[in-house]
Amino acid sequence: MRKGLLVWILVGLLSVSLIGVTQAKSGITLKFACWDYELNQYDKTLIAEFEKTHPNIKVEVYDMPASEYPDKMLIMLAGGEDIDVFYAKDPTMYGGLVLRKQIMPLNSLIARDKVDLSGYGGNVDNVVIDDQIYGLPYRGDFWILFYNKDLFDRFGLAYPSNNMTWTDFQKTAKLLTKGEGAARTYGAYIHTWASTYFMFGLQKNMGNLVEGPYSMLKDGLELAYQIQMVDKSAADYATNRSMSAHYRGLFEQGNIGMIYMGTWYMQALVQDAKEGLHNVNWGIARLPQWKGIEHSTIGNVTPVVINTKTKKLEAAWELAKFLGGKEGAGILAENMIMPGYVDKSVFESFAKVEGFPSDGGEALVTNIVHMEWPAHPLSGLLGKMVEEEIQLAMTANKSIDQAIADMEKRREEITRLNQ
Amino acid sequence: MKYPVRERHRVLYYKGGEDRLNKVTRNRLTAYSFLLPNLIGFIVFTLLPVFAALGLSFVRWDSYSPLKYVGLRNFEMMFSDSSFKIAFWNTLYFTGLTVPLTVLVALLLALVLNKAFRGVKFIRSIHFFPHVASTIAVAVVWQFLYNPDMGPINHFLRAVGVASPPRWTSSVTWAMPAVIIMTVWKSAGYYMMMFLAGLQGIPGHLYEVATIDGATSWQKFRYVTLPLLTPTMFFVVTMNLIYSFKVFDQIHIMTQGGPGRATSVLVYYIYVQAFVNQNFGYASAMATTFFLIILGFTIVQFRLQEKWVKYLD
Repeated sequence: MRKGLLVWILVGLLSVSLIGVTQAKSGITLKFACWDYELNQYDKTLIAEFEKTHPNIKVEVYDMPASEYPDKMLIMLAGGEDIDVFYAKDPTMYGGLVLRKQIMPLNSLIARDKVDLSGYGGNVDNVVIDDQIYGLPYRGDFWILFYNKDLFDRFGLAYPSNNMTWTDFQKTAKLLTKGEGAARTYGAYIHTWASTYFMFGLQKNMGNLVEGPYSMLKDGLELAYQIQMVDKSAADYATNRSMSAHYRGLFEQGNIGMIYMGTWYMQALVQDAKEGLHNVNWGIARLPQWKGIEHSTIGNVTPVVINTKTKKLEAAWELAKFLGGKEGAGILAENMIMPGYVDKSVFESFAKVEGFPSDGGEALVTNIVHMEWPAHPLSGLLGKMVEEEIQLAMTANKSIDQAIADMEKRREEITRLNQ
Repeated sequence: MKYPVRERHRVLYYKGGEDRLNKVTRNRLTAYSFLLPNLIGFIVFTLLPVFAALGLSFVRWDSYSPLKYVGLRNFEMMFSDSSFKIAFWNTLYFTGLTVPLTVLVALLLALVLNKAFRGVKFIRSIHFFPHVASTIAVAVVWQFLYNPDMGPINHFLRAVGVASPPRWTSSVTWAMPAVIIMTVWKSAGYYMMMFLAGLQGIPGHLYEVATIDGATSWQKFRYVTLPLLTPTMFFVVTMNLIYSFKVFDQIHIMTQGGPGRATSVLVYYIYVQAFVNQNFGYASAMATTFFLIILGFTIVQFRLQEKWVKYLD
């Protein structure tokens, strides 16, 4: 009796594995990793569309939470997991992947298939490392100014223009600040990320934070400090930090005039409005700029990359081309996501989305996009150091000049230790 | 039933007495086979990683490229790395204050709650509660309590006349005390339970004798309670010392080592070097050093124990 059962189990297992083998032979299954696949619908739409147009390729998705994505991918790749295609979330992660030779150079494939790189504009420069392209820009977010039209109307102020300077920004913020307690309106909100404080410096076009002089940060830090501690037209860093404040909910409460944030926030605003979470009448403008300096903004390129160890290169390349190319860009724009590939049809897709401010198209035109952190092995550690020093300056534990001097000193130390 | 006891064992276990292994070995094997499930877990997830970390201390490794042997360079780096030095002193500062404070608070609570009165069990449970609550949740709540402008702690301080109360987690001076206070609050209840158990283990007749001899309550505490509580004290101090050295959770949530590096502690810095900088060699070297420091402290503790810990027998 028992022996009989065992035989049946073995037969069963064998046939299941045989079925598995035959199924795999009839088509290719790619392993693809990304973050918040279920939460954000757009990657799901992309993959569904890809499978429809490529019936011989199946895509198996590894979904991870956004905040853990870089660490988790690092561990999975180190453990030899055979993910074929995935996103490099930011230049730091991308740089690390290139350095460790975990992703494949694509130049020969790009040349063979005559991929048109002009649609990527400046984004392509940000994925070139040592003359090689290791990924196609899938998303190309950059920072813009969001404002609450109703609040500007209530105070009788003109909406921010696409040429606003930071001095105007500070003045306007002051004018929009009024009241006490729960009824108080704030002119601005400055989020607790280090990038919200150092992006002013990058806008000076003086280089990046790995090699450029930290003196570029001075004016921006002073501006943020003035707004928070002197004008009190925005909640201060320490308060936001201890309240674990989130920009999304705060701006959507309707009592904040202006917030500068990445283009990814557009999708959230539309989605939250659809779900009835807010009724803020929002508009967008280009990121304010320094007077007399050519306009630039900061951003983030998310390239789609191929694992060096893939055994299904052709299929993986098809998927990468789809996600990072024109077809993918069209779908992303319909979902209010800023793609890496941008042409006229992409802009038109944006304008068609319900809830997108009709006068906002101009705000999305930019020439210079600085990466928050370049693809450099020390970006992670220097990022932490810069954040620590900014924190000290913004909580008034250190003067801004002292913090900048200390940044220079600590950069020297970090560079020396990690030679 | 007819066999003598020894023979019966033989029959039951070895069916005819194929007695190839001697009895001690047999017993050991039986014991190990029971330990095996746990032992495998320990070897795979604790022992091997510890040795791996020791080995990694001498290499440069980013988790992907081939290992590169660098000798003692990782250890030398610690001496010229200001972040390591700051984290090291912060760890000592944290431990140096947390351990005595926790012991003191736990002991006082235990002494007060060792009396029999209505609702004593309820009050004991309340004090034990913070220990059961998740550190993450507790740290988030305390972060709010410490809010410099709107937090209840500073509201209270202003109400009692402190004009400019500390800015707690956003002040370089006060961030560490803030974390320490929260940690003491969280762990005192647990050690209070240990002390209570210790107090209840002291035989009542010793107090009777002391009373007959005319001892005051202070003398009873000083010459009866305290000496007989030293074994518990030893355990509490050793455990608390180890836990304090490896503090991480509350710092990760409340301050992330900030403001600046004011609350950066060793475990936190090891984490940064390993997972932010992908310098697993350097991180392992620091972990090894850290292990040796804790080992050193524990050995000293055990040595000193003979001097001050008194057992009843």
